[in-house]
Amino acid sequence: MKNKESTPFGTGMSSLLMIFVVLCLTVFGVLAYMTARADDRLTQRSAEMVQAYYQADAAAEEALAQLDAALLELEPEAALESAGFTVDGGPETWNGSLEISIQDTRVYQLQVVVEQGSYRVTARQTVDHAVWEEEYLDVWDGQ
Amino acid sequence: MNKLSRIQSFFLEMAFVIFFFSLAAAVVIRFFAAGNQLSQHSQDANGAMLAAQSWVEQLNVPEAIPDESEKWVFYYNSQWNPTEEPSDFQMTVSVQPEQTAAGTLCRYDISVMPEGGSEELFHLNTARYWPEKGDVS
Repeated sequence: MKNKESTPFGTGMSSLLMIFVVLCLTVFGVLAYMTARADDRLTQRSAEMVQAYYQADAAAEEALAQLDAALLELEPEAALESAGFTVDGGPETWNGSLEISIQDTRVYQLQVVVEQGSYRVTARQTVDHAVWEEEYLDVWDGQ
Repeated sequence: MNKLSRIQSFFLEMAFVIFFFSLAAAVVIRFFAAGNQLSQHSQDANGAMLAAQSWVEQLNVPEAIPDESEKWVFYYNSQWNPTEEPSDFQMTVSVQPEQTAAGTLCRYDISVMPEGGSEELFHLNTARYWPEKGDVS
């Protein structure tokens, strides 16, 4: 009876091992690339939002400069309107409101009060006008 | 099958395995390298954005209102810490003041880029109004 000499690994085992390793490497490589790409896209969106916000901020500062210059020559109500503000109030104290669109549903809101020939900023904020979809949850009230 | 034939088939299979593994590894390494490059770019862009924002926010309390156009350059290292000497990144701030009847409107142009590089990481335009009288608010 001949003793059969056999190799420790059968024919094809190394090929199978290679296929498995390559599959794993490919999956990890693709996952790493897609994660990095998603991060980069998020960074780009953040950068766009920041740029849009500061552009709106610059527009608000220009409106304040226009208002301050107009107050030297015009009445408060006319000065506010010339600077693009929505006017309310009077005759001693005038309220002005300005909304500058930032992105999509976000607006930069600036509110000023004009009295005795000078203005004072009372509010400077970012407001989101997005409409939330109402979700109704049928919660048991105990009865 | 004699021993020599078995050894030959083993080495032939090994040669094919090594060949195809090399090809696959070359492709996968490109994926990893591209992912690393994107990740580094994203990190740099984030740091640039924060550095520009931090500088703009300090404008609310000015030390001096410029009378004429000025340009400042600030340097940052790889961790985005400010440095005196040119390092990994630089932020260029250009200011153009406009005199109005009641004050000064300063327009700021901020650009952040790698030191010695050409690709701009982040760019920001903003403005600040300084009235001649009264408080800045």
